[in-house]
Amino acid sequence: MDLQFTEEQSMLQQTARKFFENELTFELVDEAQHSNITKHSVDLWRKIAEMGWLGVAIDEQYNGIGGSLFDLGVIYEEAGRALLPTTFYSTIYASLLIEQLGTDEQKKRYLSQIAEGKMISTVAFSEADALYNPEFFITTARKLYDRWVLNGTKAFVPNADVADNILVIARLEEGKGNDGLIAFIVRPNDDGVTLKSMNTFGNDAQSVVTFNNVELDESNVLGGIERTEKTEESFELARKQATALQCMEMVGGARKVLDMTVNYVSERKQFGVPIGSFQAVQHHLANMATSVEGAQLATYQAMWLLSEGLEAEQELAIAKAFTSETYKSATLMAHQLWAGMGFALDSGLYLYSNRAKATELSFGTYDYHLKELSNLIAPAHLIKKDELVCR
Amino acid sequence: MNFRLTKEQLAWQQEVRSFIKENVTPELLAEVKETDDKQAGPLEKVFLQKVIEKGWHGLNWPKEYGGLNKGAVDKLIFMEEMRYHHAPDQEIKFMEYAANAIINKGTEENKKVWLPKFINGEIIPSMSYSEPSAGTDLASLHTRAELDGDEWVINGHKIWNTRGHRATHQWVAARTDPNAPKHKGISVFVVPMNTPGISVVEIKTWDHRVNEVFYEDVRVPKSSLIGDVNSGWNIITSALNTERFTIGIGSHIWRVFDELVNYCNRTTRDGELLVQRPEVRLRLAQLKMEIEIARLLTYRAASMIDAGKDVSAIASMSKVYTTELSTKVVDYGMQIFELYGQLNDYEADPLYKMIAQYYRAVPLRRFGGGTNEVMRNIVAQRGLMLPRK
Repeated sequence: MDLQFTEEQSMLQQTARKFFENELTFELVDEAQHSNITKHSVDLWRKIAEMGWLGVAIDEQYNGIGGSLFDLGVIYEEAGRALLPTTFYSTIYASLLIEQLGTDEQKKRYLSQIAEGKMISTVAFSEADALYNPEFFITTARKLYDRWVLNGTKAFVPNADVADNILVIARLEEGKGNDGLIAFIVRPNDDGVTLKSMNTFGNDAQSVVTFNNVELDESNVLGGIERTEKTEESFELARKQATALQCMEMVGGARKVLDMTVNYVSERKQFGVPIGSFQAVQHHLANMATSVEGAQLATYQAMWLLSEGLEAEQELAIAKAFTSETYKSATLMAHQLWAGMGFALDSGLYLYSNRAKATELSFGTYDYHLKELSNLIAPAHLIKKDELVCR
Repeated sequence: MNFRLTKEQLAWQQEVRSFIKENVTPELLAEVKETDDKQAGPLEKVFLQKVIEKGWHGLNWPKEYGGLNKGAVDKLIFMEEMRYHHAPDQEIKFMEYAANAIINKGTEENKKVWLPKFINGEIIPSMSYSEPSAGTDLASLHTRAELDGDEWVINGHKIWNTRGHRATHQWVAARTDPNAPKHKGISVFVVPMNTPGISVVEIKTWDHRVNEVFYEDVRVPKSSLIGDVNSGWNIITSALNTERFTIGIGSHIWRVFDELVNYCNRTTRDGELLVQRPEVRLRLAQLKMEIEIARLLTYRAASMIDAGKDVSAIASMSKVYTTELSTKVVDYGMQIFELYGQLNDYEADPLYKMIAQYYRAVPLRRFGGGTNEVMRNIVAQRGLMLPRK
């Protein structure tokens, strides 16, 4: 047990922080959040690829670094601090799915390209009426001789507008519910694919993607056509990994909001003294710091367990629920403490507030994860009545 | 980063559990409950002696003082298990607060004179800090200690003293230089309870017994002074850091939570098993989440102690989080019981009275060892470096 970063992890953290601080100036973040053309920065993407961070958790044989998932999490935390454009996250999520499900050939082809920064990717999972439960997916795939035909509509697909390919999770037409999921590698410019961009709270690029008789061959089926019992588990695992990674991003953002707010109240003077010397202000920040510390620990725990290949169901539910509440509440309290100064767009605070809300709403809200957690704790902890200790 | 206990830590946890299973008997627990406001009973004395024989009294102490030199994580494991099973730990705790401060800030002579008596159980200390007009503003205390020849003469009035009726010694903060700034004129003394001039008067509270302790021309030898003259504030803050870290260990309340989950799994009201009520499930899940956060904060603090880092901020965070969450757990527990939450006897279900007792006991933790407002000040000023003025 050692709840501190190793020396290597600290070094990685420092390197990443320095890099992002240099590269992601407020102007760039601002442009990324507002641009109607692209949220993606080609120049930054190239530099990130050069640092090797797109392939941190990708095996060396596929041009990755072969590091651990936790190492990748360290990068995510720093990315969250710096508000990195979201193409990084969606591409990594896709790489996790490919890692779980892909054939050797697909890994060689796609993971290598991702690691080298030659491919932007994303995952299409949720649908208008089925956010989490694939049983209710209307996106289906039908086999037609040696071809597959894909029909349906996915929503909230991040960065589909700039992606080189989209991993689409669909139901097999003859399959029922969760038993028959299949993932396709689809290019946005394939015949029958149409994109409609969504206008979102966080000004991030998300799209509704419609598949109208999109014809695909077997090389487009992630993992080939040999479905195994592991297929659904693999979807699930990649999703959990992506959730934990997003939590890392969120704690990075939350810690940054805390740091910025501490700086602000230390400098802002009223009644002739810094407002940070008032206990009312200090106590809000002490609470914020405690939440951020707790969120960080809960997230590290979930991330570490997954990185070690261990079960983390309960820990992940705790991490996402607590971190969602922490990040969002930190931004809302920051607005209270910064007052008008933080409301002005110039301060940039709202960029974190937007991202906090966007991340809270994706990969399961507070209630979603508490419900998961309640399903895990209710039947356990059975202590026999005669063991009851009276104080 | 590593969230798993090491093989050695797991073995240690197992060792503590076996010891508790063998020695924390229903008879012992019944006796402890009976004697809280009196002297320790025979079973408790035997229990404490067994802990001492194991060497666990000096768990973290360096080997040179007879300790086992185990880390703070080991200490945490020990305390978590003890509390989870409601084993009596007050005497062990107080000994630890004082002894740690002596090890960290005491003189070589202090260590030679006092540590052997602490570790063998000869001394059971109790804290004489607060005074009627010096609570949160502890440094404004009025109790005086003056040197008269080879002896210190102590006069003053202490309050909110826990366990003074059981202790062998008081750990007394007294003013030794009335002309120095308030933090710089305080010293700490170890004073035997049988010294003439000490009297202990009970204060009845909503929960357990506390005391006023009066000092009238109490004379102690020079060797009773801990650290240097007027360096007492430093010693007190060191002891308080240990105390706050320890208060953050809330496993006796996390046990209550486990009992509640069990209760909800076996209790049907108005035709419905409690655990099937969606609102109950969500509340339990929320508490479960927060308990995990509280535990992680204690483990983080322990890791930092083992790495030799300043833990004043994290220990304060942990103290605030655990004590406020403890209130929530027992408060919600009583609500789960609904009308039964009022029952003040053990007949229907021992859980009712137990949780009601905790409901009265846990608010104390929100101000004992430093109010949670002061804890937040520490997090803000020492952790976040916010300006004082």
